[in-house]
Amino acid sequence: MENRKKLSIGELIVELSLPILLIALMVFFSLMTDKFFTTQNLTNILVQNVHVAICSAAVMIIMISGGTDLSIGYQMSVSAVLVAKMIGVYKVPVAIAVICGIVLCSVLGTFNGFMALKLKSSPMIVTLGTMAIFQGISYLISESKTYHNLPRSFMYIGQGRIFGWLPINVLIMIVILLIVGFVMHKTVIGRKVYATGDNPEAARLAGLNVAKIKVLSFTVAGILVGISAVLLAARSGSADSATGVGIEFTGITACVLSGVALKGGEGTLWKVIVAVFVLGVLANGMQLINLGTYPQYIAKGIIMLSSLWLTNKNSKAM
Amino acid sequence: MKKIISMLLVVSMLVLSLAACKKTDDTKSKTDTGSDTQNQEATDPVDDVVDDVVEQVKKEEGYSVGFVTFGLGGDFFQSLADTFVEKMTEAGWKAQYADGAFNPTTQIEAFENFIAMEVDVIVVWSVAPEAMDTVVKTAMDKGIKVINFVAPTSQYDVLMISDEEELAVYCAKLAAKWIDTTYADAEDHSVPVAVLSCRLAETGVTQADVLIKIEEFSKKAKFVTEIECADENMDTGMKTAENLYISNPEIKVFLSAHNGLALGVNNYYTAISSPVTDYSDMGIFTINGDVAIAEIIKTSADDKAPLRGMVLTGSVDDTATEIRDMCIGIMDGSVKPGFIQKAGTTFVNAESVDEYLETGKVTSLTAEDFK
Amino acid sequence: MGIAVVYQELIQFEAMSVADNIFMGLKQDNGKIMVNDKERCEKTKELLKKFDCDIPPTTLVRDLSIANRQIVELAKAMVKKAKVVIMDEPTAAITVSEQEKLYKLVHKLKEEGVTIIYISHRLEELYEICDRVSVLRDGQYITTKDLRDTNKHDLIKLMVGRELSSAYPAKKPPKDEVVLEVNNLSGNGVENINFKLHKGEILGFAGLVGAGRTELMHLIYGAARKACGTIKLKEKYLNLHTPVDGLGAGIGLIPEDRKFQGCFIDKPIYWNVSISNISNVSSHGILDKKEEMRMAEEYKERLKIKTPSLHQQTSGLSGGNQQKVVIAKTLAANPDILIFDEPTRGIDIGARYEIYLLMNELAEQGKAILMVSSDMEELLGMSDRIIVLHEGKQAGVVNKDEFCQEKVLAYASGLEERQ
Repeated sequence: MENRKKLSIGELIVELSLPILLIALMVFFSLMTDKFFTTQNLTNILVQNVHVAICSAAVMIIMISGGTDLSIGYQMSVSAVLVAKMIGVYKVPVAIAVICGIVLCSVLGTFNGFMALKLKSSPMIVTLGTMAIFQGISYLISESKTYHNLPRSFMYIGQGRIFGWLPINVLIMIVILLIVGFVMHKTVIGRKVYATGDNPEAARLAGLNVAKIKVLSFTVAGILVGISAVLLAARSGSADSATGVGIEFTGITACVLSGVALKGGEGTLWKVIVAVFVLGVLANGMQLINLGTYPQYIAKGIIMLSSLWLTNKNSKAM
Repeated sequence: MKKIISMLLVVSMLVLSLAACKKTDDTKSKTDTGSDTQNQEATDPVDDVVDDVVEQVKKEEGYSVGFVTFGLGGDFFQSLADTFVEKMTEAGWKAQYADGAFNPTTQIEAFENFIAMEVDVIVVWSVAPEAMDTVVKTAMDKGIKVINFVAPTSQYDVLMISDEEELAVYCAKLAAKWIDTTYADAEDHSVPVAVLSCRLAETGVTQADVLIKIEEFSKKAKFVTEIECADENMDTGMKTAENLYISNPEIKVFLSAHNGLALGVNNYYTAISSPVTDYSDMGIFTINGDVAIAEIIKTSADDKAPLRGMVLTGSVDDTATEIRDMCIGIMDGSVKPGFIQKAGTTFVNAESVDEYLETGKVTSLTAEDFK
Repeated sequence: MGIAVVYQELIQFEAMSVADNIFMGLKQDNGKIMVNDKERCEKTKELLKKFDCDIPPTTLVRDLSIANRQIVELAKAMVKKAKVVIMDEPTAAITVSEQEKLYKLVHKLKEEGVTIIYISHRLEELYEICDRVSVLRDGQYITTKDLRDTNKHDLIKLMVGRELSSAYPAKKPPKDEVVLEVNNLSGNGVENINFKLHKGEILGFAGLVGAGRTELMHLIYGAARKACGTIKLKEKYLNLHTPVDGLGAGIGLIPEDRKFQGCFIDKPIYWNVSISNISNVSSHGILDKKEEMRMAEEYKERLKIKTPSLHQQTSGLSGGNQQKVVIAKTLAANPDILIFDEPTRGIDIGARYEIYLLMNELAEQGKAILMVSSDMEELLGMSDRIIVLHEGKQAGVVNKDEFCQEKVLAYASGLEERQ
C-alpha cells in the first residue's frame, strides 16, 4: 500500500501552468475579437498545427533519449518533395508514394542515430552535418521546383473532413499522439527510453541495450516526421524544398517550454502538445487582432520566458 | 614546451601572411601599370609588350566570367544561373556560377575566389550592395570588369537594373486592370483588397509600400489591411489566408510581392475544405513567380483558381541573354563602363499566359498597355 | 570568516594548478591586476612543505590523487588563516598509508591551534585523532562525550540506538560447489586473474586505489570486454559483450558509485527497483503499475528501506537507503552471483549492519558474492577469503584462517608476491 504523492495547491498550479496559460490566452483573444472563439477559427488552429504537433512529439522522443536532432526540418523537406514528385510527376499511386516518404524519413532518422553512435559524437553536432546533406538531397530531388498539381485523393488526407467538420489530418494527429503517449508512458520500451536519457551509464549497467534504444528513438522520430511531412504537403496542396524547414526549432521550443529536459530522461507528451498549441494560439490570435510582426516576436518571447519560469520553478535537477 | 611550439606557429603564420600580402601588392601595382592605357606610358616597355601578348592569347582562348548569384534556392535563381552559363559557353566563353546563399559574406568569398581565378568579368547580384564595395573595387583595380545585376554597388562597369519599385507598380496595375474590368458596375472603392508582405528585406519593404497604395491604381479597389508575414513560405501564406478569412472574410483580392505567399493563399482557396468554391470574383496577383505559378494562372482563365496574374522582369532566357550581351559588350568595347541597362517587365495573366508558357516571352501585353 | 571546509566530494578547479587553487579569490593579491605566478608558487611551496608534501605548485589538480588533493584543501585552509576546519569523511576515498599521513597532518594542524571538526563513520579513526565526539542520529543531536571516557561499544550503541552484538554478523561457511571459475582473465587493465567462487561464499577483493578491482568486476559482469581468458559459470563458458549478457547469465552488479552508476537519482524508488527486470512487471510490453508497486513494496519491506513513499525521488534518500534501492534493483533481476563494489562507502553504521545481514542472508540462500572493498575491517569481517590485487595483477590469496591486516596490506602494496 503506497501513498499517492499529494500535491499542494502551489505545486498544482505549477504543474498545470501550461494549460492555465493556454486557457488564459484563449480568453484574452476571445475578449479582443469575437472572431477568435468560432468553430471555424478553432478548427483552423488545430489544422495549422497538425504537423507542428507531430514533429514536436518526434523531437520529444529524441530529447528524452538524450539527443537532439537539428535535421528534422530538412527531413520533412526531402520527404515532402519526394512524395509530391512521385505523385505529381511520376504518377505513382498515392498510397505507395506516402509509404515511400515515411520510410525514407525513418531511414534518414536511423542514419542520424547510427552516425551519432559510430562517430561517438553528440547527436546535435552530427545532425548539424546531416542537416546539410539532407538539404542537398532535397534540392537534388526537387531541382528547385514547386510541385503543385497534386491529385484530389492525396489532398484529401490533408484537407478533407469527416462528419462535416472534423478534419482528417486532425484525426490522424490525435490518433498518432495517443499512440506515442501510450508507448512513452505506459510501455516497457518507453520506460527504457527515459532510463537511457536520464543516465546512460546507469542504464547500461542496469542491463539496458543503450545503443539500440538511442538509434531506435531516431528511427521512430523519423517515422513521425515522415507522416508529418505527408500531412503538410497534403494540406498545402503543393511542396517544395522549403517545406518544413525550421520546424525543429519550433519543436525544441515547445519541448523546452513544457519541461522536457535538454539532458534527457524527462518529459511528458501532453505538456508538449499543450505548449505547441500555446504557440499556435498565440500566432493565430495575434494575426486576428492585427498585431504587427515585430510586436508578435516580443510577445512570443515574453510568454516563453514566463512559461519557462513557471515550469522550471520546481524542477530539482537541470 | 607547448607554449614555445604555439609561439613558433603563430610567428611563422604571421610572417607567411605578411609575405603573401606583399606579393599581392606587387601584382597589384603591376596590373595597374599594365592596364592603365589612358595614362602615361608604363615604366618598362618590355612589360607592355608582354601584357599585349597576354591579351592576344586571351582573345583567342576566349574570355572567362564568374557569376555570383543571389542564391540558388528557387526555380528562377537556379534556372537563371544554369541558362547564363549555357549561353556564355555557346558564345565561346568559360563560365561558371557560385552560390551566394542569400548571404553577403558568402557572396564576398565567392567574389574573391573569382578574383583569384583571374576571370575577365564578374557578374554579381548583391544581397547587400554596400558590403560588396571593397571587393568590387579590388576587382576593378585589377582590370576585371564588374557587372551589377539588379543591385548597384558604388562602382561598376555595367549596371543592369530592374526597378523593384516599378515592378510593384506594374503588379498593382495588372491587378487594377482586372479589378476594374470585373467589378465595372461596383461602387467606387468597394472591392476589398489585402496585401501579404514580408518586410525582412529592402525589396520586400519597397514593394509592399507600393502594393498597399492599390487605391491609387484602381478606382474600384479598397485597401483593407496588410498582413506582415514572418517569411515567404507557402505554408505561411496558407495559414495567413486561413486566419484572414476569419477576421476579414470579405476580402476578394490578394496582392503579394512574394510568390510563395501568393501560392499559399491560392492553395487555401483551392483546397478541398475551402469555404469558397466560386473564384470568379477573386483575384491573386504576385511578382516573379515560376512555371508552377504560370500553370495556375492558366487555369484561372476558367475561374478554376483565384491566382490570376504575375509580373516578371523577363523570362529566365531573356534575362540570361541580356547579361550575356553585357559581358560580350564590355569586353569588346561596344558597351562603355558605367552603362546602365534597364530590364523590361513581362506581364503574365490569363490572356498572355499561353504565349508565356510556350515561348517564355510575352509580346501581346506590354508596359504600354498599362499607361 | 575563519572557517574552512574540506568536503567529501572535493570541490576544486580541476583544470588549474595547485598554486591557483590555493590562492583563488584571496585578497592577498591586494587588488593587483596581474597575477604574480612566481610569488604564488613560492608561497605554495612553503605551505606544502609544512605538510611534508613536495608536489610542484604548477601541477594541475586533476592530475593529483585524492589524498594529495586533500592536502591542497588543507593548505588552502591554512592560507585563509582558518580558525576552524571542517573535514567531511576525509579518509573515505584514500588508502591506508595515505590515511596515516592525513592523521599526522591533522595533528600538526592541532598544534598550530586550529580547531577541527572531523566527520567520520570510522570509529578507530576518531580514537586516533579526536578528543571529543558528538553523536548525531537520524538528524538529531544525541550527545557529546570525551573519547577517553567512551569505548567503541558505547559509541555504536549511541549511533544505532540499540545494542549491536558485534560489528559484523556471523556467517555460515560456504559450500564446496564451484559456481564461477575465472581462468587467465585479462583485459580492461587487469592481467591473468585466476580464482574460483563457491556457492554461499563471500569472496573479498582487496587492493590499493587503482589496483584494478572495479575493472575486474566489470569484466565479469560484461561491462567491459575481456582481451583473453575464460569465465565459466556453472559448466558454461560465458562470452560477455555487454551487461545485458552478464545480467542474462545471472550475474548482478551493485556499482561503486551508487549515485551516478547505480541508480537513476532523480527518478522515484519504484522506478529504480523495476528497471533491471522490467519485463517482469509488464505483460506484452505494457507496464503493470500495480505489479511494479507491489515489487517495490516487497523490496522495501525486505531491505527495510526507510522512505515515506515509494514515489519518493531517490535523491531524497540517505546514502544507506539509496544503496538499498540499488541492491533491490539488482536483486529484482534474480541473479545467482552478486558483485558488491564498495557496498558500504559513506553509509551510516545502522544501514551498514543491515546490508551485512543481507549479504549473509543471500549467501545462505545459495547465492555467491564478490565483494570489492577498501575498508580493511569490512574485508576481514565479512569475507570468507580475500584476493588481493596489485597494479592489475593478482598479488595473493588470503584464507580465513590467515586473516590479518598486515598480510593483506603487504600483498596490496606489492611487497609480497605469492599465488
